[in-house]
Amino acid sequence: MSRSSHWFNPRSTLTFTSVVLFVVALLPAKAIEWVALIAEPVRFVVYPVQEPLNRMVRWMQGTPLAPAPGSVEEYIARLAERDTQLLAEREQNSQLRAELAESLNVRRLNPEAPRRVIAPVVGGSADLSSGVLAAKAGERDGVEVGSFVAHAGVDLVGRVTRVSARSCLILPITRRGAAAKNAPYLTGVIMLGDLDKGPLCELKATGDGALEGTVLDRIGTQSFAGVEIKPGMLVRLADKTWPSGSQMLVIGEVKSVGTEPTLHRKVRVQPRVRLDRVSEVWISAADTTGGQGGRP
Amino acid sequence: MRWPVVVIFGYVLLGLELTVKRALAIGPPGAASIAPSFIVPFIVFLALSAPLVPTLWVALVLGIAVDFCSPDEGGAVFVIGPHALGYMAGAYFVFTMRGLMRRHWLSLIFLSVLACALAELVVVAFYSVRGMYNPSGFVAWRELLRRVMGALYTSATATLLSAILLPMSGLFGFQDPHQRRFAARRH
Repeated sequence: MSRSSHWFNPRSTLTFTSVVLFVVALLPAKAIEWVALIAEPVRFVVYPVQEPLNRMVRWMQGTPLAPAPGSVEEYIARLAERDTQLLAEREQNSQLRAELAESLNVRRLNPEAPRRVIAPVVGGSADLSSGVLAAKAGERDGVEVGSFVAHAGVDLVGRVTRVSARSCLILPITRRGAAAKNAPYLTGVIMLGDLDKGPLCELKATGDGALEGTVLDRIGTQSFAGVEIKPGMLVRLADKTWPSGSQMLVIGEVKSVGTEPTLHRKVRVQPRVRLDRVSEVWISAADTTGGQGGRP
Repeated sequence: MRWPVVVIFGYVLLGLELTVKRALAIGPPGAASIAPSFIVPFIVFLALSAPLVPTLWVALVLGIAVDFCSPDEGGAVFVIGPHALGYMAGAYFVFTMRGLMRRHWLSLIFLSVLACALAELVVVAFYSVRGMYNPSGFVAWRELLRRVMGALYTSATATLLSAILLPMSGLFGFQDPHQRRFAARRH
């Protein structure tokens, strides 16, 4: 005899739930905005198992195995190598101290300057076609929808599309359809040298981790038609629709140069890091320490 | 079926789906990656031994969890239903097939590939229909191809999970599906 009560029949409830899901799955985006309210508690429930597994994956991906002890000569050679590394890092350290002092000065003078939050990527979407990354930084850290995200503070990753109290979702620039409806292209500038800017290009995600687009050989009166574009050149962000703090972040490297049927040149740009595998990101954040700085 | 055991396994496998799946993905990054499923072999394992309605409930709940963890349109929208109904279709398919197959690791691998392909077909169907009035750059044939390849890749995770789950099937408290519920006891 069935133990289920008269108001809960597993079979009929299952049928009813399936029908409701069928209808909800086909509703337009506007009609299912409320679902996002439930998504956050679900992520909260999943987080305790997701975090240790994510740490394990990162450890397996990134940590090199400890080298086996070698001979005395090897040990001495390694010591000399470490000394060199130490000197190089001391030099870099002093440079970074100077840059930090400078950026603190900028923040004192201009409270609107964006603050950056370093956040671990705690996983992505279960369905890889959405291409979204989840990072452990949220409203409490000053992250907002539209904040730009970078890897190591240099390589552009994408934009924040949804924020909760402690986490946020990031849409990488390489995700097909990632561009906003009012700005369908990501505008980049092809760098001819370290500081020498070349022509602009309008890029669109191809869906396979790269971006492709037309090179704008003529900008106003300036012509770049004679400028040679080679694979390996850096492409940096120069897009007015993105926040000012994100300008000149690296989009990627030119992988190939071709010609469109309209005889315009086109470039294929590949980010220097796999955006779906980054383990840590920098997110621009509004200042939450006081005042109104940082908010648009 | 012992529900606490199912819940613990389902929870851990959901965690694997969200983290390890991404790390195991092969091919170009992002939407073009081919990745295996951890949840489908578990649902297949249940569908091979457990009664239909509890199996469908497990498939539904895990599918809803996956839907909640798969934001669409760059995280702006959460579409619940495609994975839930897809996993249910996969579970039902295995349930109808289980009379023809023994509870064997090869059956689990073979049915996992088919159930995963069926589930992904349902997911692609839903997103294709949604794409008609909600353009989101979803290319059906490309997605279907990628997901079918992912279903083939699922044979790897199904092999691993069959080595773990089948020896532990006693923990799940399944009844023998061939034993009739009200059969007369033989003396």
